[in-house]
Amino acid sequence: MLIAIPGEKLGVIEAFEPRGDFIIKDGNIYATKLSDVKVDKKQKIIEIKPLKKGFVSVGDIVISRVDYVQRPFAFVTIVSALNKDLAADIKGMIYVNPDFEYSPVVEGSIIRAKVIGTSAGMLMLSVSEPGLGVLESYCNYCGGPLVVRGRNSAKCTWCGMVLRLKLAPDFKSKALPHRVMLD
Amino acid sequence: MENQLIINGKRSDGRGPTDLRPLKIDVGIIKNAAGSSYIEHGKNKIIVAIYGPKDSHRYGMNLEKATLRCRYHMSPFSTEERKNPQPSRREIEISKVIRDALEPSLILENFPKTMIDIFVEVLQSDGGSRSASITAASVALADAGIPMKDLVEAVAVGKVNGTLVVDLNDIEDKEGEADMPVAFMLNENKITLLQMDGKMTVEEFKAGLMMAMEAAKKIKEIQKEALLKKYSHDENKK
Repeated sequence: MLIAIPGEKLGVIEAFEPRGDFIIKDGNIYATKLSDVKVDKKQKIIEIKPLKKGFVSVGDIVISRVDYVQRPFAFVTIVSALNKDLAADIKGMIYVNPDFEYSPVVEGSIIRAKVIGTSAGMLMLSVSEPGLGVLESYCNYCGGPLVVRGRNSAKCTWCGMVLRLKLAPDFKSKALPHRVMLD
Repeated sequence: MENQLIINGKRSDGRGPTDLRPLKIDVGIIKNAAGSSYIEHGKNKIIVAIYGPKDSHRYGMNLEKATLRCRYHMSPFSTEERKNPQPSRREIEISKVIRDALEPSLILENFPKTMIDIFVEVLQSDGGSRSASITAASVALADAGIPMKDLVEAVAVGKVNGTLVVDLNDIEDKEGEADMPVAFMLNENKITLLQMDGKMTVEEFKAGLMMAMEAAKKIKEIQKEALLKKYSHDENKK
């Protein structure tokens, strides 16, 4: 195993295609974190995998709480990432297509989402992939508990209101992170 | 009369002018911190802990990048006479100096609206505690997984009895003619800290800078060894 330290030169961009966490300066590839480096000389690929993940980064699956929805965005607080509660809340947002009839998440939902990038100083999340979506939610009219009614729809057991949501396959069946339960 | 600190080319602790004091770095000593390190540089004993990136307070929030904060603190038992634990003017200045020396090495743009805290606790102090703190903090930041352009290593050069010396100890720091802490990002060929207390000629300054750079290369090797020791060990355990 080859371990690179931050700032270590790993190769030149003409010779290798870098993947993972790196920076390119003057045509050279440098590690930015303590990383496990795998060089595939045949395919001309350098794979740079951080040994320690310090923060939520692009591609991570996170558990978040929806603070409010103001189309075209739903604003969320990330409470858990990589199965580990975060020390402090991190804000993010999900793009909600204004042309869509319904929002995939509602205020107060606990969702599983993927970090897809940063924009305007916030992490951008998405729930569109399979396996992602709402894990727990309540009726946003009366606050009653919801039960699955069909694919991507849930019904309030109190008022009978049907909500269209992007439900995760394990909606209501997964034990939520400790931080979410406390809130 | 001037105190004779260099006799027959040897300094008060038996070192030559370009020799470093014994340097030892341990990584990942504090479980609750995102990253941590412990440095013994001569008689300096310093612990550094990194917390964050975490959500920033509204005050001091930067929409473009993470805010770096540093707290350098000397324990009451770190000096010969008890030190008041309240932050002194010197500690506030060194906190700023450490932050400014480390900030150019970090890629803070990846974490907008967040903050990263660096806590430096001096358990035992000798000369050059700011340099040792910068060296240790850089290792702790790498341990925390904060993306960096390069490690930062710092060392002081000075003039004692008319001779340029590297890595001043406490007595040389106090009684020497000049003291110049310098921090480097060697791969980037950049200086991130340069302070000077006392007087040097331009030639002495240039020669001192070269001596500091040579010493920084040795420190970098020790930083690398410390990080590799921890992470090679962790990987082998998997």
